[in-house]
Order: sequence, then structure tokens, then C-alpha cells
Amino acid sequence: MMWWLCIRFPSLMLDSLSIRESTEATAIIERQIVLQANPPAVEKGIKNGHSMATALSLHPELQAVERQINREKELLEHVAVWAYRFSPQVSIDEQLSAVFLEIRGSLKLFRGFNRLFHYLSEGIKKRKLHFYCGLSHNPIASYLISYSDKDPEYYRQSPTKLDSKKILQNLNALPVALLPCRKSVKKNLQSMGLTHIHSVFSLPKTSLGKRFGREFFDLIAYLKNEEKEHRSLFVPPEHFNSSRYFLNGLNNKQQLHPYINQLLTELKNHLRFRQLINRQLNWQLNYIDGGSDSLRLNSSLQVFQQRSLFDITLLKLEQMKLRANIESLSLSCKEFEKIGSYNDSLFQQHDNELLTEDDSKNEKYNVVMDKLLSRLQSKHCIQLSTHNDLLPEKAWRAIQYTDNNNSDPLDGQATPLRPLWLLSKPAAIQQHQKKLYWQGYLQLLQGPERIDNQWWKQRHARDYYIARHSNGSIYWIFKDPINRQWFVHGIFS
Amino acid sequence: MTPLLPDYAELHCISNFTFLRGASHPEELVTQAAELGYRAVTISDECSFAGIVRAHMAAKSCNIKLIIGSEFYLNENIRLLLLATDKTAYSQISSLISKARLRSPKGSYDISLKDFQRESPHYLAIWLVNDALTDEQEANQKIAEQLKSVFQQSLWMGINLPRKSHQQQRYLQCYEIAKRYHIPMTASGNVHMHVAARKPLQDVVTAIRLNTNIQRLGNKLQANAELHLHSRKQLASLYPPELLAETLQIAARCQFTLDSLNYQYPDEIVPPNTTATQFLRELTEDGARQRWPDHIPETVISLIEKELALIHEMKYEQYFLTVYDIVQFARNQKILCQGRGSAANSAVCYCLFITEVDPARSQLLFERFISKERDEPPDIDVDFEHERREEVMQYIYRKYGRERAALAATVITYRPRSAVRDVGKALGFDQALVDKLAKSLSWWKKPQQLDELLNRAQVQQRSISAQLFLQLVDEILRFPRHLSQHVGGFIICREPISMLVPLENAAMKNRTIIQWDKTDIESLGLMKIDVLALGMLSAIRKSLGYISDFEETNGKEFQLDNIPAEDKATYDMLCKADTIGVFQIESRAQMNMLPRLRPQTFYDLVIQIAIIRPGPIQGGMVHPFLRRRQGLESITYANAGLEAVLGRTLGVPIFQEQVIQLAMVAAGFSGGEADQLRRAITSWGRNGHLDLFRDKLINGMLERGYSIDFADRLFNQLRGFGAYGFPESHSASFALLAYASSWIKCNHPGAFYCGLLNSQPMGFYAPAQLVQDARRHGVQILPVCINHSQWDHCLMTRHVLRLGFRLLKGMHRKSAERLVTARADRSFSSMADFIQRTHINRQEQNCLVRSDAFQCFNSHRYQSQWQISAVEESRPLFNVESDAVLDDHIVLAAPKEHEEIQWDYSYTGLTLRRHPMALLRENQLLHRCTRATDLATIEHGHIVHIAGLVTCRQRPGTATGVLFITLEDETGYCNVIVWKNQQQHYNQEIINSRILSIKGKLQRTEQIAGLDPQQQTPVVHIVAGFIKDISHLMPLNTSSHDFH
Repeated sequence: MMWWLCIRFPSLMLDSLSIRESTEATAIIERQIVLQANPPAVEKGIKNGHSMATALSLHPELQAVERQINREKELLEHVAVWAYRFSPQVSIDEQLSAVFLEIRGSLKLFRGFNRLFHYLSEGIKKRKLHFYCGLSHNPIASYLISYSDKDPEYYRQSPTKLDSKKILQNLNALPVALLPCRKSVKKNLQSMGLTHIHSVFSLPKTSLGKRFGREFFDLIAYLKNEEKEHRSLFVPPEHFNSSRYFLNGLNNKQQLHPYINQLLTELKNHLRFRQLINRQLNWQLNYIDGGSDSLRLNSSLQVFQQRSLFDITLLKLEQMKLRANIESLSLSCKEFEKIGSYNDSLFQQHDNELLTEDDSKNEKYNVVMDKLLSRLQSKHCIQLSTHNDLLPEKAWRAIQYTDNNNSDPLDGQATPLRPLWLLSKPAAIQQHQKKLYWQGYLQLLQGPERIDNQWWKQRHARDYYIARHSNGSIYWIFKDPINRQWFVHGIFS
Repeated sequence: MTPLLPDYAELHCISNFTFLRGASHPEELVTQAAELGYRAVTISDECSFAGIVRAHMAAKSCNIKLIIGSEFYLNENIRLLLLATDKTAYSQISSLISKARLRSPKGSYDISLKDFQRESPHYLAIWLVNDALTDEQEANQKIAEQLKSVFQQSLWMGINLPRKSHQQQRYLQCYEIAKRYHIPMTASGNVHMHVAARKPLQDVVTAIRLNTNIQRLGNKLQANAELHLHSRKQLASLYPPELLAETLQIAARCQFTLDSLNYQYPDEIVPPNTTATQFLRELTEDGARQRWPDHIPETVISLIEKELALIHEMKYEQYFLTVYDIVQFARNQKILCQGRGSAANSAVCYCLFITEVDPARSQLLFERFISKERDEPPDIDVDFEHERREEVMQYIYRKYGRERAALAATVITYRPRSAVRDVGKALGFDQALVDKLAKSLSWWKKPQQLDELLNRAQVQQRSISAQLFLQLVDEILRFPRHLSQHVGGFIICREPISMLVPLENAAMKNRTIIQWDKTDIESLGLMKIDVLALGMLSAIRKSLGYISDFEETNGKEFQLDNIPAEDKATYDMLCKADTIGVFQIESRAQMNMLPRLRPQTFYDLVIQIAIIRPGPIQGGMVHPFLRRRQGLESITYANAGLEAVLGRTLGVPIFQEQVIQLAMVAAGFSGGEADQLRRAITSWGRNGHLDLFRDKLINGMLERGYSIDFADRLFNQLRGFGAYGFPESHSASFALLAYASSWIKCNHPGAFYCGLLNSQPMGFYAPAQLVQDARRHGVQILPVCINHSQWDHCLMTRHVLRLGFRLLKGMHRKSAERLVTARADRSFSSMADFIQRTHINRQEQNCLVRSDAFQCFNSHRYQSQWQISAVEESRPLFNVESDAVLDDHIVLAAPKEHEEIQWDYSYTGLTLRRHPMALLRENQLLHRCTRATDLATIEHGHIVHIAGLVTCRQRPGTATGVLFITLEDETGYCNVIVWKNQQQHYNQEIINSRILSIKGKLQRTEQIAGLDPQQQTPVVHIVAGFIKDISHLMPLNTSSHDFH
């Protein structure tokens, strides 16, 4: 018989957003209904299921935070990955906010249940998560048992045997509302006066199945251990993470080269196995003194070119100064793309024969850009992009280089007449004998175009004119109607 | 020398009636144009005339010419402005708007160039080229050619120069086209706001319209604030003089004014070969003979003559005849109805059977309701049974056609909550914060407290100052948001209505509304008939039917006018405040007043209804009136004038008209001023004009020797009347229904409760409370049963009522009717029989089971549920041959009493078993709690402990933060008062509880001197000291009636 340990997180919504321990009354809401309230909010009388109107009337200062299901899932997955150290059979259930571990096979490794449970519960406590545990022969029974007021230890008859009688006794006493089945089924059960699990267990399964369907029939059989476990197990995410440790530490960058190559080879194998291509390399150097440095490299390569990645890594490494002896080197990758129809040969070094001419050109461009980005750092590689703003100096902007076009559409508006060259800061114009003068006289040709905007930040009011300079150039100048000062802002080609 | 300022007429302004595009009220645009010295101003909202009446009134008061027009975005990407030159042009534009609106869903329109290719347009057309002109000159030329061929000499090109990029190039392009196609050019402002300072609000409404925030609007924002009304000096610098001069030429051609609208009432109402005057006289005289078959009193004859003369003078005959016709239809269809409103309580209306208020019995004066000085149309509202009003509306549509009858609009405007929500969102506040602010505001708070709320929410506002937010919220308040359907105000015309005012689709299917609301209609002097729905009329009609069924009525139907007048037993019942379910006097405040006011006559009821209103309460008129009525205070009048006004209400002003008359008699208001005051009262809260009259009223009264206290009270009362005032005529009509429903309750309780329960939802009390009250009045209530119940509740005998399926939550009428049909031949003999013979879905089967409707099979609800669940949904129902198939020989335990009660409340909202409080009391869970019925015997000032179901939580605006709670136990009701500090302390208990236990001090009213103490019903309250939520003792799915 298996031993399933359930770790149930009753405050998962709050914990996933780290607000359970907040001293401010806070509630997780969805569609204006309170789903979970933290202890200060509960103290103010706020309950799950309250509408926001009621909750606010109880406590006007209540902080409301929208539910984030993804964060809950991430937290469960995080616990599941961690729980692998206790069991190879781990499962998560988002509906029940629970993680399940089959621990029968791990009892020997951990020298008994108590030690295993101690490590496990201490680990969860360290993460500041609110949890309850249950122990039984199957995950759902262990989940239900987690609602009883007994420790998992209570359900052990001997070091190798669970006490089925005690488990059944406690299951019987629980309300049917806890059963993981459809709401309508639970409502039906209650409207027959079947409020506790024992009242359901006492009825023939066939009669129950007839009334509540196959699914419920299976659930009851499963809870009575008459059905085999068929829960799908948690598969950890396909992140890559590998390290090399150096007993006495390395003090020279050169010494790192073979290890860099080794880790890249490992990554290559990882990618090949999964038919993926990475988009980032995250190197981490951990120093003996406890400090660390990170190197993050972006890769736009279509195929895994170990040599190029190695070169780029070294380029980046050259710019770094070692702060102490290196204790370990690790490489991690989180972002991958499916490589689609490329085959294994794409992972072979120096093999670009399968790429078309255009692809090959692009790939060369990508290598150059990757190298430039590594050499100059991404903050020094910029590109121009349009921006949806009425202020001329904000209508264009320099953004960090990306391979995407980040220009804002102009929403069908006619493109206003603008000089290509805008001064970084408008230059004040003098007035000589009532004529505008800036390195020569300016004669107004056309205007004004009035811009008066951004009242919600700092009001910008300007009357723009096109003017001819005495040297023949065409300038874009404006008058500030508030302080009546003139400025040159740009030069037309 | 200063150059002469050019004359100018603005031809193109959109107001905030172009919803979420314009940023100024029509009145603001017109007033500002007048201040700037414009020769004329146009209101030309997008495919709409919704704002023109307001603009017209403003133009009249500031003496500027108003041009009426409308702008359209055509499907061909052409923007066109039409201006009304004369009445025909106005009607043509109105018809075009109707056409474009009626073929599109609410809020949108659809129009293309071919819609204008009609018989000689009288209107002028201006092609608004600014945004439409493209860089492709060929396309522009094509449009010019098309427009020229349609409008010929009536076409202009509207030029707007808002200081944008490319302006000069665009202008030259326009000039070239205009020259080539001989289209004259004119300036047109494309005005969106009356002053440039409205730019922030302009941007905010744009953000709201585009469902984004201002930071994200980018190029969709107006680049500058130029779309406002410019000074003439600015105009001179912006436009060539010829373009400005052209505006005057166009304005000169636009001679139409709304005053020239000649509204005509439908004439088919008058039979051939007679006049409306003659016909009305004939009907009135016929009616008088029916009303007074023996002898028409002389006073009534002279009253009728006087009224008919006035009606003739004001040419209101058709109006009275139309209302008569509608009421006749209802009477023929046996739809109960009753008129009320300013003209309804006249002798003529009584003779036409529009109203039942006997002029011989009441002291109402017709002149008060049709005023020659006011020159306003009469107002008759007719209430119909709420379940059958639709039949009346369909009759009107049938009779006059949809092209001649339409409902008035209601302009939905920004209220504090929606303003906070929309402005907050537009400024980019977090959604959660916006929700919080809006919700906090709605919870017993006023908009002025927004500032405090913002501080409490610790709004740092990142880049936006809270000050800006507050300012914008304040500006957008009362901005129109969209048009909705008036509750029942019909406009009926002789000509197609779209020639008078545009029509558009309402949200409700097959409903059309006009683009003007009640105020607009009133301002233009059009006649409106309010066809309203009233639940109590449905209840009374049904109750009268039951009385006819069970009483000896000699084969005749028992009707409203068969109810005997001034029945003593009925008034005795009212004096005991036994008025649950009775029309208008069933609220807790009214019930508290009844034992003190002790109504003995119909007129007492008229006063009783009007006195419990914010007006008299805020004005402090209640206690003086009671003291005078009880003889504790002498009734004196400062002069004979006051006595004439206040004599019938013992010197205390109670009705709206009295207050207006007082302003004239006591404060020296002229007729015109009193009329303005009346308008200010009815629009109080919308424009705040009432405060303008404060000084004049108070000073006027002080000058005439009245005390400052009296003057202040009168003014406060005026404020209270603003939103909730009750004119005497309304009160009298309501008093009739209050008396009728009281009489039925007193004399035929079975019929009363059956009628009331069958008209739910309506009134103040839920079925649970009505059923409790019915049982206290000796009516036996039988439970819902699949073999005996109908959809409606049925009166089986005079005092036995069988509950119907309509009570069950989740049961549909059609299914219930199918069930009743299925058992028509024989009753269901078993569950299996029921399943075989009915085809009701699983959800409704469950609903019946859980409501215990199968108890006739001696099966408790748990067993029934077990049985019915055995029928698999996927299998055909006829496979169920016997109950054996259903129960598998399994016997489930029967529910306990408290479980039965809980299920009863969950599925029927009430229980016929023991009251939950009786059960708790029996189980000793209500330690020493006094029963409601025993409170009457306890001395004033004693501390008592009570407990009960919470049936009502009320915080009236007039009660300075006091909360009233009503608790129900097995013997009746307890009234609890919770003062502000206790509310804060017990906030959780008050909000969360369904059952409360309260310890507090008992307060009771003093005995009325000179009256037999045995006949007096003291008013008892408990002032809460200690409050405990004891809902956990019995979890119940009850609901309380919570309101402000």
C-alpha cells in the first residue's frame, strides 16, 4: 500500500502574493467578491464570499488585491520541485491547493516517517507558508484527512503500516462539503440530509452512482481504496541549470574556459533532447567570499552554435574583473523556443549547410549583433522608434536595440510636419531690433501650430513656426506663449 | 486706433449632448457666446437635438439668436453640418436624425449621402472639411462634386483653423476645391467647449469614450485647446474677414426658433360633427350624473362649470379627452387605474372617472393645479396595475401609431459614484482604487467627503494631483451620459412626431423614445401623459376579485367604489398601526406616526401620507402638527392670509403647494417669483438654484413680522420638498388607495394577503413577513403542494390561502402551468406518476422537492430528493414505472425541525412551521429575551433584552446617522434604534447578522390625554446598548430589506 502525504495550503491565494502576514487588512478578490482575507481583515469581520461593498462597509481601509492564479500555480510548482528531494512521486492539484507526495518508498532513506516529516514541515515553515498535512493510502483521502484535527503521525499503526481504521473513522466524521466533486452533487447530497461522509459511505455505491454519476461512483470507490491510483505526476519544468564547483577556487579567467565549454556541451545535450533552442545564457560566478557576479547573454541564433556562444561568453567575461577566487560556475537557461523542423545536425558545430542563403545572412547578422551587444553592452546599442505622443521631443525615442519593431502606430492621424533634426534642448532665440536672432536673423514663414498639452503633468504650451535663417536654412522655432520667450527646436533638411 | 471687432455667428458647436465628445453644457455655450458678443450661436450636436431645448431657454434668457443644427459623420467618410432655416428645414433634419437613429442600435446611427437625395432640402449644408480632406485631391474633388450635386446652392465649405500642423497647406487645398466647384467658404469653429479651461475635461471625456486613460491617448488627444469659443479679437487674427462675414450671411438665413413649433394634439379623439369643448362637456355631464345619480350638488355643478371654462380658455380639451380615452380603455379591459397629478383631482377628472377623489369630499382647489399665470400644460399621471401597464402602452401605440406616439427620454447624467469611477479610470488610477473610492462614496456618504476618502486611501496620485481629480469629478457631475427611457411619459402628436423631435431606439426592444426629457417637454409647453405602473393597483384588483368570489355581491363584481367610505373599524386598525402591506403607510416611520396622529377621516390619511416625507421632517413640522392635533398647543395664525393657506393643516405647512403659497403670502413673492421658486424646488439637487431664494424668502418673512425660527424651518422644508415633496393632490390620490387597501385588510384579510402575495415583488415587506402577518390575522396558510397549488397563490375559502408555485426560487411559470395541466384530470398518485406525467427539468424537480412540495405522498423532502435523483437525466422519463425504481428500498432519516425550517427559508423564503425564534426559545438559547408582544407591557426606561430575525435595516437621510433595525420574532416586530457610536462599535454585528440579540433601553410614547388608554397603542422602541450576532444558532437563508 502507498503512503500519500498531502500538504494543503489553505491560504494559497494570500501566500502566493506574500500578503498573509501583512499587518494591513487585505483581501484577495475576484469579480468584486472576497475570496481570501488575511488575519487583520478577518479581525474586522470580513469573510470569504463577502461582496466588496459589504467588505468596505466593514472596513473602509481594506486593501483589495485581484487574485493571480498564475502565482498560485507557480508557488505550488515551486513546492513540488523542492519536494522532489523527499519523493520521486510528487503531484500537485491547483483546485485543492495541495501538493501530494508518495512517501512510502522514501521512509528508509530518511530513516522513518518522523524524520522525513520533520524535514518537510520545517522546510515549508521556512518558506512562511500556511499549511496542513494529511496522511492516507491515496491522495484524496490524505487531502480530506488534512481537515481533521490530528497530526499525520496519528494515522501510523507501525513504522511500515498505516492505521486504516483510524483513517476511516476520521474520514467518516468530515462533512460532504469537503469532497472534491461537483457543487451540484454536494448540494444534492445535502438536500437528502447526507451531510457527513459516513452517511454517504453507508449507502450502496451503485445507488450513489445511479444518482450522482460515474465520476462520483469512482470517487467513493477510490476513497474506499477499491480503485487504483491514477493521478498524473508532476513533471518539473525544462529549465536548464548546471554548475561546476572548484575545491580551492580558481583565480584566473583562463582557467574557466574548459568548464565553460563543458557546461555549453551539457546545455547542447539538454536542448537536443528536448528539441529546443535557448534565448539566454545566465552565467553565475560564485566567489569563495560568498559574493557572486552574473553574466546574462542574449542569443538570437537560429541554431545552437557552441563556438559562437563560447566566443560571446569570453567576450563578456573579458569585461569583468574577478573580485575573488571562484568557488563555482553555473549556467542556467530559462527561455527556450521550439526548433520545429530542424534536425539533430543543427546542433553540430560549424554546420550551417542546411540554412538558406537568406537565413545564413540573417544568422551572420545575428552573430554580429550578439557580439556587438556583448562587446558594447545592450544599453549602448539603441535604435529609433516612433512614439504616440503629441510633444515633438517625445514623438520619437531612442530605445534599446531589439529585433522587434516597437514603433507606435499613429492611429490614422496625419503625420504632423516635423524636422528630422531636433535639438536635444531648445536653444533660446534673441531679439535684435524686434527681429528674431539666433546665429543670424530668422524670418517667419509659416505658423503657428499650437501645442498645448500634458496638463496632468506639467503643462506644455508652444506656438511653432517654420522660419528661414539668414543662411538659407529652414528652422523650426517656437514661442512659449506663457513667458513669451522664443526657441529654436529643430532644423529641416 | 483699435480696429473694429468683426461680427460673428458661430455655426458649429457640439455640446455635452454629443455624449463624451462635447465638454460643455448647451447653456454654457450659449451664455458664453452671448458674453463674447456673437450675433448668433448654433447648437449642432452629432445626429441629435437632445440639447437644443436647454440651449433655447438659455438663448432666450441672454438674448442671443440660437441656430439649430446637427452634424453627421456619413458612411462615405464625409462630415456634414445641417442648419435649420425654417420650420420645414427643422422637421427635415429631425426626420433625418430619426431615420439614421432608428435603423441602428441604441446610441449609434447610420446615414449616407443617398439619404439626403430627397425633395428640395430647406436646410443649409456645411461640408466640414478639416479632418475629412485627404492628401489625394482627386478623392476630395469627387466628394465636392457629389455634395454639390445634392445640395447645389445650399452648400458651404466650413473652415476651421485650430492652429494645427499643415494648416496652411490644407487651407490652400480647400480654397482650390471651393473655387473650382463654386462652393462658398465660411468659418466654422468646431467648438467642443465653451472656454479653453475645459480642455482637461475634454481630454477626460475622450479617454472615457475610448475606454482608456489620458496617458495612453497619445495622438488621439486634441493637440491644443483651440476648439473653444474664441473672442472676436482672436477670431479676427485667425480667419480671413470674408470667412467671418459669411457666417453672418448664413445666420441671417436661419430664422427658425423652437418657439415657432406648433404642437398640435391628436384630433381623432373628438367624434365627427362635434367640437372638443362640446364633447368634453357631454362626457363630464354624463359622468356627473353617474357619480351623483340622485342629485348633483350645487357646489359641484358650479365647480364643474368653472373648471370647464378654464380648460376651454387654456385649450386643454384634447388633453383631458385623451387621458379619458386611455382610462376608458383600461376600464373596459378591467385594468385598475387611477389618475393623479396637478390636474387629476378636479371635478372634471372625477366625472370622467380618471380619478376617484371626490371633489365634494376633499378640499382641493382646481386653480392650484392649472394655473393661468404659469401657462404650463396640465399634468395628469395615471397609475395602472403594474402587471398590465404594457397592455395600455400597446393600446396607445395601436391607436396613434408609432410615428405619432413615443416615450419621453430620461437624461442619465453623471452622479458622484459614476463620476468618480470614470474620471478615476481616465486619469489612470488603479482599478481597485477607483472601485474602492466609488464604493466608499456610495456607502452612506456624500460627494463632499471625497476629499477625505482620498486622503484615507493615501492617494499619492503619482503624477496626478488629487486636487485635479476632485476638480474634474466636480465638473463632470450632471454631465449627460446617455438617453434612457422615461418610466411612462408619452408624447402624442397630430403630425408624425419625428417632425417635432427626433426619435431613437431605446435599449428595450420595440421601444422608441424622443430625444427630449421631461424638463424639455415642460419648457416647450408640450403635453405629456404619464402612463405609470403601480403594484398596489394590481394587488387591489386581485383582492377585489377574491372578494367577489367569496362574498355575496349579488352576481356583480365588487369594485373599488363599492368600498364604503369612512369605515370606523378600518380607522381603528390604522390607529393601532396594523398596516403591514397597506399602501403608503406600511413603512416603519409611517407605522410609528399612525398611533400618534390617529387618523379618523379620509383627510387625516391625506395628511398622514404627506407628513412622513423629508420635506415636513426636515422642516420640523411633524411635532408641532401632532401637538396641535392632540390639543397640547393652541392653533394660532399671524393673520387671515396665513389661516387661508394653513387652516386645513392646523397652521403647519405640510403640502408642497402650501409652502409656495406661503412664499407669496408671508414673504411677499410675486406670482412669477413663486413660479420660479417652484421650478427651483423641483430641480433642487440638480442645479442648486434654490439657495438663490433663501435671502429673499427669509428677509421677506422677517419684514412681515415672522420669527427667524419659522422662516428657517420653512426654508429647510423647501429643500426637503425638492426631491421628495408631496403635493396635496398626489397625497389625496394615494390616500384613496391607502384607505382601500386598509379596508380590504381589515374586512377581508384572506383576499388582501392573497392579492398582495400574487403581486410580488412590490411594497415594503417580503412574502415571509406578509405570511406571518396574515396568520396573525387569522388567515390559514397552506403549503405549496404539487397536487393542489397553482402558479398563483389561491384563496380556497375566505380565510384559507394555498401558496402557489410562484413562491419557489428557481421555478418557472411555464413549467408550473404544464404541471397544473398534467394533473387536470387526476392528481398525481406518486413520485413515479409525477415524473411520468410531467416534463419538468431536473433543476425544477429539485426545486419542488427541496421546497417540500411532495409532502402529499407522505414522503419527507430527503426521501423525495433521493427518489427523484434516481431518474437519470440521460434516460427517458417514461422508464420510471413505479416508486420501487426510485427508492432502492433505502430509507433516509427524516429532517429535524430546524433543518426543515432552514430548507423552507432557502427555497421558499419563508416557513409555515414554527418561527425560528420560537425554536431557539424552546431550546433555551435566548436567555431571558422578551418577546415582541410583551414589550407593550413594559415601563418606559426599563432595560430589556430582545432577539429576532433582522428584517429591515434603514438609515434615512433625515435621521442624522441613526440606524433603524427591525427584528421579527414569533410574536411580532421589535423596533430598534442604533445611535451612531453604537453603530461604529457593533459595525460587524450589524452588517453580518441575520439573527441579532440586543440589550437596550425601552422607550415608549406617552399616553394621549383625554383618550381611553385601552384604545391607545403605544409606540415602543428599544435603544440599542449591547448588540450580539447570534446567527450561528440557526444558519438561515433570510434576507433583510436594507435601504437608506
